[in-house]
Amino acid sequence: MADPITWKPFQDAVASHLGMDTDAVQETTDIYKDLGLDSLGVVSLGMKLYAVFKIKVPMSAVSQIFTLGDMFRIINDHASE
Amino acid sequence: MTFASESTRLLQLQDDHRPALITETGTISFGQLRRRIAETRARLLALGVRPGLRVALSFPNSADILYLAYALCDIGAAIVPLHPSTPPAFVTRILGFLGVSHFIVPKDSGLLRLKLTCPIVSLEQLMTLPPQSAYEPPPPAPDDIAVLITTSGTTADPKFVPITQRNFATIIDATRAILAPMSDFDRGCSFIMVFPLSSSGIFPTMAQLALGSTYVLTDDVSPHNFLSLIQQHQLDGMQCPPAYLETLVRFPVENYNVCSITRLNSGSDFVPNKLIWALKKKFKNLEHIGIGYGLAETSAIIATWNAHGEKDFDTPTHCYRICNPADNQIKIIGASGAVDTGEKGEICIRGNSVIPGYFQNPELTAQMFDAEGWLHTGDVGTLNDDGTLMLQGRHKFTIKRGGRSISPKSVESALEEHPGVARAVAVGVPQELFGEMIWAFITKAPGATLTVGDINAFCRETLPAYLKPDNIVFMEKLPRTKGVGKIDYAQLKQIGAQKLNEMLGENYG
Repeated sequence: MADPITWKPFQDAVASHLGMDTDAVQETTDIYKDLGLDSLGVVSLGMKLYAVFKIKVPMSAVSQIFTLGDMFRIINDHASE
Repeated sequence: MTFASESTRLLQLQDDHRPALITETGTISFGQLRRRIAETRARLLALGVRPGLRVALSFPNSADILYLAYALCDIGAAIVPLHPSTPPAFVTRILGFLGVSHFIVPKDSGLLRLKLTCPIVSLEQLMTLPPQSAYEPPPPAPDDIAVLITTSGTTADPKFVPITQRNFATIIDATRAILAPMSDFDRGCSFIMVFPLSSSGIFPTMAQLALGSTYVLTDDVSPHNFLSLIQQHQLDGMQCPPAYLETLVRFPVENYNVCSITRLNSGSDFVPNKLIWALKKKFKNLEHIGIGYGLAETSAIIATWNAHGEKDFDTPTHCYRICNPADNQIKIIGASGAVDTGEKGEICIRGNSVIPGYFQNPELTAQMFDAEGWLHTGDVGTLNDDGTLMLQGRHKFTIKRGGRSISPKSVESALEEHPGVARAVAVGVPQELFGEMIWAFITKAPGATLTVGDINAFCRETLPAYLKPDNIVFMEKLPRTKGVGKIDYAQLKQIGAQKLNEMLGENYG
């Protein structure tokens, strides 16, 4: 079990992993269009974030993730699992 | 045609006084080389070596192994070269399996103490025998086995590749192709090589020597000795596997006078374009580069990448031109048979360079050759209208991500475009959802300060989603196989699987 996370560390982790300016990591950033990832790329981003925050993005939730804001919410939805 | 007849004819054409071999103990002219081969041949006959027998040799890189190899080839006996570092227990097993008749080693070899069913003879003992003149063997036939190469297979057991006299003869033409249009190579170009002669490395050396090149032989392949020999003898060319070239570019080559070097031959693994440019910085006059693609089963290279000056240095090095002096045929096979030009599939070859099958291993032969005699190489590539063969990696290392088959080369080549990347290797790491994830293992260029974020940012600009690495790992040094030091894809897959497990824990599903 892990605590929910706030936007700032999430933003930093994503920016660092994807090589983006922190300011460019926005809730509305489209993972597919803006980051050029495919659905498996979303899973691998989820794995990377798991390695940092120890909160798992379930495979079943991947189809609901389109933006970084979605990813952030899903991670926090599962923080207490 | 046989290698025995063709190499004898070519060696006869070389001027008596021109240097053939330069060793630590002196220079051997072509006239002396021919005499030493004849003397060795007469002693081998006195020892009882006869056509069709198999004779093992385990020598460091020296003139001796070349005398023995030419002489055995001329008699029609099969050479079994064994690297001197081969563990004794393995030597015993191999020699027993192959039914070797004689084992010849240097006088100081520890292998002399082995207990074998065949006689072990030191070269010195051999040369004290009175020369045999009563028996003269018939000329070898094209289908006679000239060399038996031991290669590591995918299983624990080695496989034995019989190179026939016909196969071996094609290596002469292939050698011409990799040197072309260095048309002046037969004027007596001088080369230094670091491939072990007690391996398939003996083929190109014997062929090129017959064509008139001078070789510097040394068993000390430290970069210092290598570069000192280039400087001392003002050598024209070098022949090294890619792993050795990577060592050279990290060495202070500028402390040596290597301006005589204009040529480079390489092969046995992929040579990135970046490595060629890095070498050009170290060897300012490097112009002619030949990289060969071939397998032990094709005896020789069947396709080459050639560069003649900087204008060619950016031509992708996995794009080879088929050299077809041996009338080899190449086709590409997909899941449902031969594919069209430009489509990806397994590279299949048949022709005079291709071995007739594995030695005493009909199961493996049936697995690797189809009924029409095509060798299925296990390499993936495309054959293009312009006669080029685009190599895309080993079939077994093709990454299967999300239902797509991805060539590691397509990921690696893109990553190596980044100025901070020295070398990139992509492997598939098994993961339930993905099938395999793309993991990229990267070494940084000297002085580069790269982060995972930098690579991901670069990939965002250059690669489609399905080719982007799912994970990036920086390494100081990439693992390499023993021998000529090919990138060890199998080990990287294992490292990836282990790291994935560490990253996610066992319960991540």
